[in-house]
Formats: sequence, C-alpha cells, structure tokens
Amino acid sequence: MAKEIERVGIPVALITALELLALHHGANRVVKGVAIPHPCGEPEASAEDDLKVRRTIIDLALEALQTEIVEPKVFARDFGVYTAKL
Amino acid sequence: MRLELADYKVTRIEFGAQTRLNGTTLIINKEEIKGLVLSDARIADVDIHLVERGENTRITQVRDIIEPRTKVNGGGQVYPGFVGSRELVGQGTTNRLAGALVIVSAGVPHDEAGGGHRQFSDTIVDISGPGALTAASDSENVVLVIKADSNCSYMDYVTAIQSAGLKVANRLAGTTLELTADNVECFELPPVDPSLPKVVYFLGVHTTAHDPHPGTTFYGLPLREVLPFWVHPNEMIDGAFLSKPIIGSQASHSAYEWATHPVVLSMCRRHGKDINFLGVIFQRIRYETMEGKILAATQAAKLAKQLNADGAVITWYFSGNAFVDVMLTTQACERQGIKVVTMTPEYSNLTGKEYPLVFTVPEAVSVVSTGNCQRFQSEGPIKLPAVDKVVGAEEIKLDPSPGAPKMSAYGEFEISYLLRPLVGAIDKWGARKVTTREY
Amino acid sequence: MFAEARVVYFLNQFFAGVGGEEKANIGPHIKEGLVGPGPSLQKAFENYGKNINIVATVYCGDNYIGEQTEKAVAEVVELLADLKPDLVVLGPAFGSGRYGYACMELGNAISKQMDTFCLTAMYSENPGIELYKKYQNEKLFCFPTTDKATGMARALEEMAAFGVKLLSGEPIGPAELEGYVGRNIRGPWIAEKNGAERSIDMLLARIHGSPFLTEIALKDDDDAVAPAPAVKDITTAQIALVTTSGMVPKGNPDKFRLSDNSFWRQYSIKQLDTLVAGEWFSTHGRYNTFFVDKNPNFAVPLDVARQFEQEGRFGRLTDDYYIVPGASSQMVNAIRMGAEVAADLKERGVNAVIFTST
Repeated sequence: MAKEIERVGIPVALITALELLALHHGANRVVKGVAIPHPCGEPEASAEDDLKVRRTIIDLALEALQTEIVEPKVFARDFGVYTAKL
Repeated sequence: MRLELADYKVTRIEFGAQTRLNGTTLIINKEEIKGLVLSDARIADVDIHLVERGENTRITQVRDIIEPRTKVNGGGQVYPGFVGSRELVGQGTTNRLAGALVIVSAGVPHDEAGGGHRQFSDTIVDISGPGALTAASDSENVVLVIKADSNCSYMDYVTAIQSAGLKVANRLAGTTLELTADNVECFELPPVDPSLPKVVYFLGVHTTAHDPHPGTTFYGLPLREVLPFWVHPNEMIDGAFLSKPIIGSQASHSAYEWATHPVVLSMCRRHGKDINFLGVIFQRIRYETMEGKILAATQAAKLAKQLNADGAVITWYFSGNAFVDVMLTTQACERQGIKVVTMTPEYSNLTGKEYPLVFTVPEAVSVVSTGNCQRFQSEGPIKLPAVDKVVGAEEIKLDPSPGAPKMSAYGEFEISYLLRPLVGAIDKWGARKVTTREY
Repeated sequence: MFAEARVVYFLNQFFAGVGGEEKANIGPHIKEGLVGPGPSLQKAFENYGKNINIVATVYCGDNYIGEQTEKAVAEVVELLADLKPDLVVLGPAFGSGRYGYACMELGNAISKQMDTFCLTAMYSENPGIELYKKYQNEKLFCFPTTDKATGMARALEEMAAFGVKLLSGEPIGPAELEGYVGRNIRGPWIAEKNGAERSIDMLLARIHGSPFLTEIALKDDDDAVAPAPAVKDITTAQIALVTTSGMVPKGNPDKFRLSDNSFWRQYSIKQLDTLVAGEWFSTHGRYNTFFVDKNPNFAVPLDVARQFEQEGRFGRLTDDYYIVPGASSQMVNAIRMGAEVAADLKERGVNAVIFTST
C-alpha cells in the first residue's frame, strides 16, 4: 500500500516492527518500530520515556522523508529504553 | 519410549442402562455421563445428543472434537493436565475407541483481553454435505451441549468446558478395559539404519501470549513465549498438546487432530523405512518483534543441528506475520545445511491470482501447498445447504465483527469470510490431498 | 456439447499472405473464409467430427497494433462484433515478438469484451508470454510452440484439440496436464497423496539430491517502485498520517470488520493534540489491540506529530488521518485502495506520509 503512494511521487516513511516484511513488500523508507502491537510506543516504560521513544521514531521518520535514497533503507536507532517484549 | 495404541472399533452408539462396550456398540448411561460433567460446579447444565455418521445434521458452537482414549498402563493418563496428572505420557498401552468421537458444543463469552468488543464466531461442524470436513462425518458422535456458568472467569469457563469433553472421552474409552483389541499399532523410535536421512518435524504453533488463554497447552501448561523444545511423538498420541476450546478452521485444532497429527504419524510410520525420525521440535511462532522471530528461528535450527538432522518439515498457522518466523527458521536451517520443506495453505484470494505467500526467503525452495484457504475446493465461497437437524445453538453468529448479525443455524450459508467458522476447512497439517496447481 | 461453433481466426500480415515488413503498418482487415494457415486449422477442427467453422479471418499489421494498441484493438473488436464467434484463435506467433504481443493484447481484450474464449500459441521466450502471465485471464489460453514456424502443424493441432474442449464446456485442468502455458492462476487440485506424505517425499528428494517440484515457487521480483524523491523543505511540508492499525473513532461509524475490508476512510484530527483512550479503538482482528486501545498514539502517533508540528519541525499535518485496512484484505483491493488514497493525498497537496503498520 505504501508503494502505491510512492508511485505518485509522495515519499512515505513506513513505521513497522517487522522491517524485513516491509522490505519484502517493496517499502523504500522503513522506520524500525517497537513491536507489532505498539509500533510507535513502549507501554512498559514510564509516560515520559514512552514519549521519548515516540519522538525518536517520528524524528527518524522525518529524517527518512528528507533522505534521497536509490534503494530501500531501514532507519533505526536505539530507543535507550528497556523493552521487555520479544 | 514405546507405546502400543490399541483399537476398539465402534459402529454404533446408544443410550442404555450401563455404560459399556458391547461388541462394536457403545452403550452410554446418560445420567452417569451427565453426572460426570455436572460434577464440575462451573457447569450449569448439559444435554447429550447422539449423532450418527452421515446424518444431515449441523452441530454448532463446536468447541472441541475428542477421540475417546485411555491409558491402561505405562505411566500417567491421556490428556495430561486435564484428565491425567502432569506425569510423562507416551509409554505402555493406550486404548482408543476407533469410530467414536466426543464433540463439545458451548457458547463462549467474549474474550477479556485483546479488546472487549471482540466476540468469537460460532463454529460449525456439518456431518454431511460440502461442509463436512471433519472426522465426525465418519464417526459415531456423542455431542455434549454444555451451559457453563457465565459468571465464572474466562479461564474457568473455557477450562470447564474443555475438561468436561476430555473427561467424558476418557470415561468412554474406559469401557475397553478387560476387552480384546481389534488391532494394535506400536509407536517407537528405535535406532535404525544409520544411512537413513535424519528428519525432524518443526511444529510451528502460534500463541497469543497476551490472552488469558494463549491458544495451546502442553501437559496443561499454557504456552506463551516459550523457546523451542523437543517432544516425543508418543506424547502427542497421548494428548499432551491441546488447543484453546474454540476451534474454527483458523484458530486452533481439535484434540482429535492433535492426537492424530498427520505429519507426526507419517514420520513415525516411515521411521526405519525411508527416514530416521528424530522427533518433534515445538516452535512458538508469531513473536511480535523481528528480534523475537530471529531468536526463535535460530534456536529451533540449533536444536535440529544438535540432533544431527539432515532435513525438516515445518508447518504453521495463522496469521500472516507468524509466517515470517517460519521462513526465518527455514533460512537458519538451510544455512547450516539442514534442508527444509515448508507445508502451508495459500492465501491466493478467491480468484487464485495473488501470490500465495506473505513472505519468503531465497532459501525456501521446497514448499508443499495444502490448497488455497480463501478458495478451498470450490469456484468461490463455500455454500452450505440447509439442514434438517441442528445440535447446539440454533442461532449463531458467523462473523465475529462487532454488530454482525445472528442467523438461523438451519439455513443455507455462504462461507467466504476466510472460512473461519467451518471446522476443518483449512488443512494446515497435510491431512488431505487438496492442493493447488497452476491454471 | 454443441451443435455448431463459429470460429474467427486472427493472423498478422505475413501469415495472412499479404506481405512482409513493408505491410506491417496495415490496419485490421476482415476476410470471409480461410486464409494462410486457415485451411490447416479448419482441417484440424474437422478431425473432431464437430461442426466447427472458421467463418472469417481477421488480419492486421504487426506495427499497426504495436504502435497504437488501444485503437487497433477497438477496431478489431468492432469488426468481430457482428460475427459473434464462439472461439477466437490467434497465431501461432512462434518467436515473433510483435506478432506475439499482438495476439496476446487482442486475445486479452477480445475475451474480456466479448466474453469469448481466445486461444493462441507462441514460443516460450516470446515477450507475449510475459503479458499473458500478467493478465491472468481465465478465458485466454496460450500453447507453447517452437521458435520457428516449423512447428506450425503441431501447434494448429494442439489448438484445435483444446479449442474443441473449450467449446464443449469440458472442465479445464491445470496447465501441466492440459499442455497450455500456465497463467499464474492457482486453482484447486487433488493430489495422489496427502500433504504430510508429499512433504516427507519432497524432503527425501532434496536430501537425496533427486529432482523435485516445489508446489509454490518463489516470487519473481516484480513491481518494485523507485523511491519517491525526498522532501525538499520539510519546514513547509504538509504531512499526512496513514495507518493500517485499524484505529477508528469509538463506535466504529463506518463499520470496519475485523479483517478483509475493502474500503478506506479519513477521520478528523483537526483540533486534536493527541488521541485520547476511549475516543478511539482498533478494529483490526489480527494483532493484540490491548495496547493501542489504551494509548491510541501507539498506532497513530498524533501526540508527538503535533508536538513536532508546533516546534516547527515540519509545515503542518493534514486535517484528517487515513485508515487503510491491514488485516487480510485481498491484494487486488489493497492495490486499488492504495491508488485511491494516493490520488486523494496528491489532490490535497500532501508532500509526505508517515505510515504506521502493525
């Protein structure tokens, strides 16, 4: 689906925990999320830390949107917060 | 571990004064069995119906299908954790009633976790017609229509209805003690010709770790985020694995399917002939992060490598992201020289025109298809005909979405909603010959 | 069974005997009766003792079709309209690329517009085959031939035999059984052994190094989309939030189902700084929605997006977020919905998308 949006020339930053799956389906700018049921946050963390995680993710998304790429790329960063979930 | 599975054939079931097996007629004392079920205080009421093979009957809200089995000796008892204690099973002698099944029918309150707005769809077993896809069509069936106390917790509720079915199944098999079996099959994995290919079976099982009942239990222990572990096939024959008693075609498997697992039984029977069967590796799939999937995959491959496997068959079930775990396991094994065959249903859409798999790795070069789970065997949605007799709830809900309507169980249905309510519709373990070809 | 059947035969200018390259630009013509290989094809049909007649032959220059395909196809369809054929045979095109292309484009269009079976044949490397596999047309069949026209007799016989099957309404089996080239359509089949046995057999073949046939081949790398250009000035950019997480306003006003939905929606986030638990929830049936129901921002990160907007990190958020179905929707619907959303975004002047997936 993100592919169809890119096809009309609008860059898409796709936030997902399963970057391999997104790449397999042709996504170009992939932002590594936390986990399938909460890609944009960390429910185990304090409200403050959770917000920090989300800010990191959106920051990565904006970075991805401004980066010229020729082939698919995963944008990831250590969230710096303990995550119990696997 | 050596297990003798003894068959006692049943061709007819009737109610009578004393629960016993008379030749191939199983006689059931209705009050005794009712009493057995009602001895669990969580169960408010039960009705017992007999459904013969080939009847024009629809059983609704089916929660489990169980073959009557009982251990005569060897340690423990079948369905450990529910009927039996947690002692190791899979040895000695187990008797089975061949040609008889216990079927549990019960309404289920909505799931507490995962969104209270979600209700389970009601499941259907048709004994005959195009929707007749279970062993019940060729069996004599004892149907327990159970009303559990809806005030108890979700886990108490599902445990109660599940235990009821398993206890009754075990009790009925108890009629075989002192009788002579019609046939005995022996299951063991002795050392064989060392040149035979060493093969393991990866049993990929999806668990919803967050749910009160995560979907599968082993010796009654709910399996949540476990790492891979080794299982002897005989443990499965004695009912060590059980699913949450919901069973639609997608969500889980009946006790009957677990105890007659087609890959496991085939591998047992071919042990010493053309393979050296090293056993079963249970693999929990559907980890919710890439890291979790990679961990499980590499640990599973490690176990197989430690066992010196030359090859493996791997199966799985839904939903989509769990297939990533399967593909990563395939990749991890192939990279260590262990050849893997993946067996899977396909998602090629009602038209058969979409690529059937949600994810692949370049190493997945050998795949067996058990058919298009969105198209099944027909040209489109399955049409279930009207029936004369309904056992269980007479009004059912086939679409679990909030607000979806209830319908009369007697009526015609079109099942296209991913076949979920129709028990047996999707072949995940290769029990059937349905597959696809390119047209 | 049928009493009689009317067949129309399509040829290019060369096989119609009109000329070579110098006639490749001629438009569609129709001729009653048999032309070129027509008599051989007619004879092949007659072997089946049925009353099958090639009532007309249509021929057209390869370049004419190649250079203005849509127009050419429309013209041919119009020529055929009054003839009401029961079957249309095109080619064989052998290794001739332009002819193969023409047969496939015409075959596809005619079968769809006139609801008639179309039958063609060409060499496996003919570029027409790629089109054929892409079209996945249930009414279009192609048989494999030699590269050169030396295989003409055989090709005509195969097409005639199969044509009779189609006309008789016989159920058509899979490609490898019937001999036609597969169309990438996966249909039901009953194997000789069950899946469990076939899996073990296939594994043994792999271990022993024997030949085996996978039942699901790995996908060819199809349709990759080149990355869209990066945003030039993010501080003025309009960004839209799109999600497959199933997040909807409480009450699910548009009644999304737990899976297999075929429509998308937009919901207003105009004055909102965050998504408040209880006001939104997820209808997605295939993941644990417990977390996003407690904090919808885990799925649609509005709280932080709004913060960044206020901090000047980007221009502005669109007034609505988009929800597109994620759970088990059919690919053909997913592609259509993606295109519709894309068009909508473009119309709004959206410069970039933050897309969240569960």
